[in-house]
Amino acid sequence: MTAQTLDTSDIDQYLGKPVASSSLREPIAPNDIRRWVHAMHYPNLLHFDPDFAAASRWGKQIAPQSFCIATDDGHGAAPACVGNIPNSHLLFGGDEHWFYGPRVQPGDIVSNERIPFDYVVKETKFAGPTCFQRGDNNFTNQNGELILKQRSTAIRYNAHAGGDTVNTDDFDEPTWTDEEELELIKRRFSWVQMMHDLGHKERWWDDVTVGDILPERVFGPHSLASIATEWRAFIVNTWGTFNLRKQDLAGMGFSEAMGVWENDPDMMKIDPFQTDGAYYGPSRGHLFPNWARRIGMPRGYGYGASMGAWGIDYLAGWAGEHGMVVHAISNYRGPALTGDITIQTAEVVDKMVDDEGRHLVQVKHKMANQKGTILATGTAEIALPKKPSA
Amino acid sequence: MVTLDCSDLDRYIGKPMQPARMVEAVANTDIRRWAQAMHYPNRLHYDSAYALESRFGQLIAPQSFPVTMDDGHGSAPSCIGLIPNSHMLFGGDEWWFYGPKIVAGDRIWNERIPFDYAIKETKFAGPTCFQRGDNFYYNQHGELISKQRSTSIRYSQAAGEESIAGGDQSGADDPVWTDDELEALDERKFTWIKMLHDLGHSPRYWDSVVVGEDLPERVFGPHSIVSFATEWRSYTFTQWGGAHRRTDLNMAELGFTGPMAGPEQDPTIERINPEGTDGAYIGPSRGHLFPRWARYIGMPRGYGYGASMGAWLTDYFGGWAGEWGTIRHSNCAYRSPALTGDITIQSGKILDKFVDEDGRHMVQVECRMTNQTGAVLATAKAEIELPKLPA
Repeated sequence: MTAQTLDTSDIDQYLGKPVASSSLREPIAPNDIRRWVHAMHYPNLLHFDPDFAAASRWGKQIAPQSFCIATDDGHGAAPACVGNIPNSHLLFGGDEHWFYGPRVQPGDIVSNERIPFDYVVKETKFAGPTCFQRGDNNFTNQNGELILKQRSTAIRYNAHAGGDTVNTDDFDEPTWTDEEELELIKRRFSWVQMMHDLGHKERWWDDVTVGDILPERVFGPHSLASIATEWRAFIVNTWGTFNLRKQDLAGMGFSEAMGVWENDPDMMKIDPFQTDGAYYGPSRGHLFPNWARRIGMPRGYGYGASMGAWGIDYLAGWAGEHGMVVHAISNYRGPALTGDITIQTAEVVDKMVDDEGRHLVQVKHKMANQKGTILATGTAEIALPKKPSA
Repeated sequence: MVTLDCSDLDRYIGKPMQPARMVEAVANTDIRRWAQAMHYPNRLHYDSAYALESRFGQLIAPQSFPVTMDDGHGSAPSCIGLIPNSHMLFGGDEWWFYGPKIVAGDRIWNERIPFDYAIKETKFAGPTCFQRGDNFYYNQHGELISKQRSTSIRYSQAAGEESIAGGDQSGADDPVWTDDELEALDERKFTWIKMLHDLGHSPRYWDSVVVGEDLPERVFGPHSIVSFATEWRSYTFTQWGGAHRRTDLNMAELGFTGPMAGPEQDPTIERINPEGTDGAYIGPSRGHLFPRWARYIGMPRGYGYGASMGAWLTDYFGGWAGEWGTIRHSNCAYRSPALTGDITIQSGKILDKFVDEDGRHMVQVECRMTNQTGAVLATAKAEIELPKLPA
């Protein structure tokens, strides 16, 4: 076998320079937000139930903090995947999020200024020489307010090397007995019940202690149906929703066989089927196991961008409507596969008042499947309300 | 010996049920999502720049759209009353269209009235109930947009399961398409899309239509769990909090059996644990997206929605008629569902042309919908109003 190489020399010319954006054609609609929380398995009434939202501190429906990514045309990967790496494929490596305060609500127009940040090549067991490339997504609203900076990491590797290492033992989904499913439904509901118990109340900073374990959150089993539901909740994946930028996927090094018309603005007018990343293009492996195996995945697998949302929602749901995630780091180790469940846990590791006077708790968070395989790890800082002094 | 007790149905016939209403007004992207999910790439319904140049000057919904404004695919008034240990499939739809179009900002409500029922013997499941019910779709101005008379096929769940378990098992696997076959299929699929482009904003004049001519073939698919899930998600009621839920719907009280009787769309549970109300995963519809449950009710693998078949037929006629034409009436019979891995092929013919008593210039057309093996999925006839060439 010849040694694998990865030519990343084309990337340098793009770093630090904004890449073209695609803009939304419609303001955010209430059902865009419902669709998002539904797809992300996040049953927080604040985001889909009008009565509950009206009684909240916001007095109306608002989007969850995870929502911005639903308004991007590339799951945040656009600035982290510029430059040609010949015959390569891409996986999501992680995200770092900084939240500045403004929330997204129906009627908003969200824009994203995207700037490639840096890259490094490391040797991995999975694919040999592997490029870890980072890029920034700066999400603003129609008032020019910065909502979120998301620094995404793309993992780019030789498509052929990926295909060589598929684990055939994992081709089949695990089966869940009826009894196991019933247990799972109960286990899943315990975190939902936690949100109901908190309701509109504050989770006071004062009541949180270092060493506290956050309640476990479980969801799944994932399925082609649930992963397709996620795909459809990203607004760009509906025909005609965006003024799409013109891209050259073949010129970026994606294999022709994976398809090169995804989100193409001209093809959208001619044969929009060809532009739908569920069926054609670099993302098709998520929903079609035979294509998953061509890029090194054993069966249908979840989206990195969704994992990012799961992480944010897990912490924000715990913090409640008076709290806010202000910063989070998430490293994605492996995707959620069809048939698997996802289990999230976290521990409070520090409490502090920052130089802006905000009362913060710091947590370490983790996402695993039913076998204990780690899907993601990270840290986050969450602002919580301070009890008024007596 | 299979029996089917339909005695409970009589007390519902002719009496209005709770209407269907969505929580939000129609949004442009609801229309786009619908056209995409129904495999209908007519730019009038998803490309706002193209729609701006149309006779309507804005995005409008296709004529197939009203059914997404119902919370039961139009089947609520045709699936009411208890039939113990039964399951339900879609048997057909008759549609009448009265003229008003649906655009963003509209609020649609659906007045639903059970119509009638008959019991016939079928090979599939023995005694089988064909129940019909009417959906009247109104907009916020009180204008009647369309009437849908929906037929439900209600049968013994056990008989359906036995028809699969005791029969040919070859239907459990999706057919396999080679890369070359898929490429050829893309070209075949595009011919009908090209027909839409060629017509563009021009009228299809009544004068130019010749009785006996074929309608252009339309092909789409292969269907997949993914495409069916996309269809499901384009029905607005499938979103958490998307519809004002019925307070009188209980799947068990309709006669659905154990694992198919989950509390789909239960308004109380939706606020407590909405994952337990999503018909993709629980309740009578779960077999569409999960082959295990498909076999439980007599389908060999993941299968398509009857209401979508109705939309495919409406769009086939509507796309051919163009933006100056209007379907006035159609009658569709669903014979067997689209299965995952199969493609759908629509062909049609001009049966007649005439001027009706209102002075409208009409053509009568038929459509036959099959899969790649030639199995018939549905047949339909429709009357379409087309513009007359100016004298």
